[in-house]
Amino acid sequence: MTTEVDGQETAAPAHSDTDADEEAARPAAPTASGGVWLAALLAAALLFCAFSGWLYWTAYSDDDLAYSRARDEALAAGRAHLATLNSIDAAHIPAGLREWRATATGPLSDELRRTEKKSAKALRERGSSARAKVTDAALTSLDDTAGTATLIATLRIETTTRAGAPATDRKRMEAGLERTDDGWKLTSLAPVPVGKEG
Amino acid sequence: MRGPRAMLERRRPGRRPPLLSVAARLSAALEGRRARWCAVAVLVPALAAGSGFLVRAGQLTGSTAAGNAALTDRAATSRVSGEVQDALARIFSYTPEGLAGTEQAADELLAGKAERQYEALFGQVEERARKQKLTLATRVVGVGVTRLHEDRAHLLAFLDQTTYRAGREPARAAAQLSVTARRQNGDWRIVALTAR
Repeated sequence: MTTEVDGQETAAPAHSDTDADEEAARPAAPTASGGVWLAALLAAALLFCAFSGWLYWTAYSDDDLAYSRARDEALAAGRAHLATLNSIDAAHIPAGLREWRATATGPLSDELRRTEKKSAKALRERGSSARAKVTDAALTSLDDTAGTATLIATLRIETTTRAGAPATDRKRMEAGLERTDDGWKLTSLAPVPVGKEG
Repeated sequence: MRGPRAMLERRRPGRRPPLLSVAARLSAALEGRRARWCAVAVLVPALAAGSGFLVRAGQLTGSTAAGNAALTDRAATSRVSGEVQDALARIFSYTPEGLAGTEQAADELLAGKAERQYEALFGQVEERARKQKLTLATRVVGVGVTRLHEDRAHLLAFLDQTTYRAGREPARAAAQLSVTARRQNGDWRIVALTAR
């Protein structure tokens, strides 16, 4: 049977010039193989998508990776907020104080709101500008589940008064951070004095 | 002649493994022009989404955050911060009689650039400490690890230093140091110190 079928098939092209039926069928041959290629390509693409999706999901839901991500986010936010809270432009005090408040949450935010008028007045009277740069910072603790962290940092603050020459001051500070819907914010900020205990 | 051929084709799908028959049916379904456009419409987003996932996964696992064990590896973090705290307290504390001991501690705990910096500094201090009967006590009041890798770490330390001189009130001073440590033969040694 098979040899008969083969014979028919090999014989077919010889007749094709005259056979209208075969003529119509001819373009179908490349199309059919195109269908196979497309199916294979589609399957490969879907497999690739599923595999990389799975890779992404395992990386995304990895607890250790989530913890390191939280650590780096908290540290970066803390650095930026510390610089903001220690800087003020004498020409734009209300805007500066608004920026201060945007860095804080909880107790520190309350305190800043409470003292805003007094700080504005004091800053206006002094008339000096300060630009702070965080020279180094490190997290000392991080609770990813509770969304809290503590940080220590060193700052270099350049102060320019209306009259005098600019002065540079170095400070060391400790800050508390909390995760909010709007990223990590400061809950406390205090200088670390010498001889705190004893 | 048509009869046997039709029979053969009818029998073929049955003999094939199921996967191949699905593939055959799928490729048959994709013959139509519209079906092809649909397939392309699935193919392109599938490739795009797959590449997107792959890139994001690479960013998550290959980022510097992932390679940094500071705080994620609690045991290693507390070990390096403990050893560095101890080292700083020892190398920055001395008594007029125990200067040799401090120098020897520095020899064990420092390496590289930090060792050279310290030697230059200690040369000046030694002279003064002996003449003026100075005692320096250093206490680490805060330490945090910023980066921690297999054999290299970066830390920030807050120090309180008290200088005692006979017949005078003790003088207190604050110092802040960025510390780079390197692990050699299992022990952490300080290789660079930067005052902040």
